[in-house]
Amino acid sequence: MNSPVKKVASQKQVQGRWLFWAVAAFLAVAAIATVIASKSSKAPTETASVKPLSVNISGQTLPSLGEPGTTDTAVGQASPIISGQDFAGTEQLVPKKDKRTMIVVVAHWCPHCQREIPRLVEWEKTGAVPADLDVVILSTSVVESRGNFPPEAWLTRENNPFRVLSDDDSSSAALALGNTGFPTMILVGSDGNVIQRMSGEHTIEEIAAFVQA
Amino acid sequence: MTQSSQIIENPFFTYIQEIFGLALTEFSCLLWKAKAPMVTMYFALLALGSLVAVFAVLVSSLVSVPMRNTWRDLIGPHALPLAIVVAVVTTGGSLYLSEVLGYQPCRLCWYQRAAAYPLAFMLPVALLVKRPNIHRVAAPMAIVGALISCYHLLIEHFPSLESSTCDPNNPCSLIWVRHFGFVTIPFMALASFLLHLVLVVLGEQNRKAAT
Repeated sequence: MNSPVKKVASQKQVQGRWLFWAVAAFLAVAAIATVIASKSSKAPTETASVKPLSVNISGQTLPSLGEPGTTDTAVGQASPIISGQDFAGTEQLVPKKDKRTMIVVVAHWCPHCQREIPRLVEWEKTGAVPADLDVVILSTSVVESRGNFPPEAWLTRENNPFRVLSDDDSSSAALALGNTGFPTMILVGSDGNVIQRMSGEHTIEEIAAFVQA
Repeated sequence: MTQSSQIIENPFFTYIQEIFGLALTEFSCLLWKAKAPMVTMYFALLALGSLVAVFAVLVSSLVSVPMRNTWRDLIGPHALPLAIVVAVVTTGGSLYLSEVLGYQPCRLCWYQRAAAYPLAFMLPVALLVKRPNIHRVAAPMAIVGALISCYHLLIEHFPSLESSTCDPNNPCSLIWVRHFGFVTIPFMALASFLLHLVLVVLGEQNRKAAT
């Protein structure tokens, strides 16, 4: 006859075996589900932009944008002139001569930028963008592994109506504009001097007030 | 420099190669990277399954005392080995994401790592030296880790809680992995911490019942 101690030990063994198979089954089901889900998920239709991008910058680099509330020493300073390409390879010059320009520095992976672009699109749709204002989206800090890649697909998906300038791998254009965070907006006057800069997410009203400066 | 050679030159792999003499070819490194969506999907499913298990145990234990005792008797005696498996998978998964896929851990990720990684060492040691009161350390660590994961999840969904701008280097609001629309890395970490917590508590309850 089995002793009570042996009985408990064998009961524990049975439970242990049951638990082992339960965990193994769970891992196997998860593996099968992964294979099924991976096969049924659509292959990405977007292809990464592989062509090397370059930008040419002339003029002085702007000082880094400080914390909100601090005096921006870049105001009144001549903006660097950046020439480069958009995603299609069309030459772009920023800022254009004799034209007020708002440069919006964005990164495809930045959640704030992902929320700001639809606001800018909405702002354009309402017809509130001043006629004399040239809005340029500067796409920078492109990192494939960070998600929402490539930026070209993202901006197309958002129906971006504005000109786009694609920065180089070293984010040279963004650094020349004194960018320290995303998104950043730089308002340049028709004389080529910086009127003001601001960073962070902003409402349409705040953007409208920004460009009125 | 090609992607594969970057991986080969990664200090983590160099270390592994030096210690274990593993011949990591460029092919195998590329294969690991190529399978990244599948591996992260597997992690996501494990996290979802873990959360379902956690809620099943919690809810059934709250509504029924016999069920609570059943879980205690069924899982309790094996809670520590199970927690070790969870801790090792969590640590391995975290290292895979950062060292193989190159997903740079943010500040909050490091805090969660500080809570998770020691468990992968402490729990096996506790099993080996038969130290039953490991729950006194493991449970608070899992609670702290889970709280940080919750905060990280909040920041992912409401980035303005952290800041109104993205740090160009590595903001905590950056979402590296997302499956099923909501399973992100902090979500997986939260599932792991909660599973740890449930296992440690069940193990302790079983120990108390046995004595």
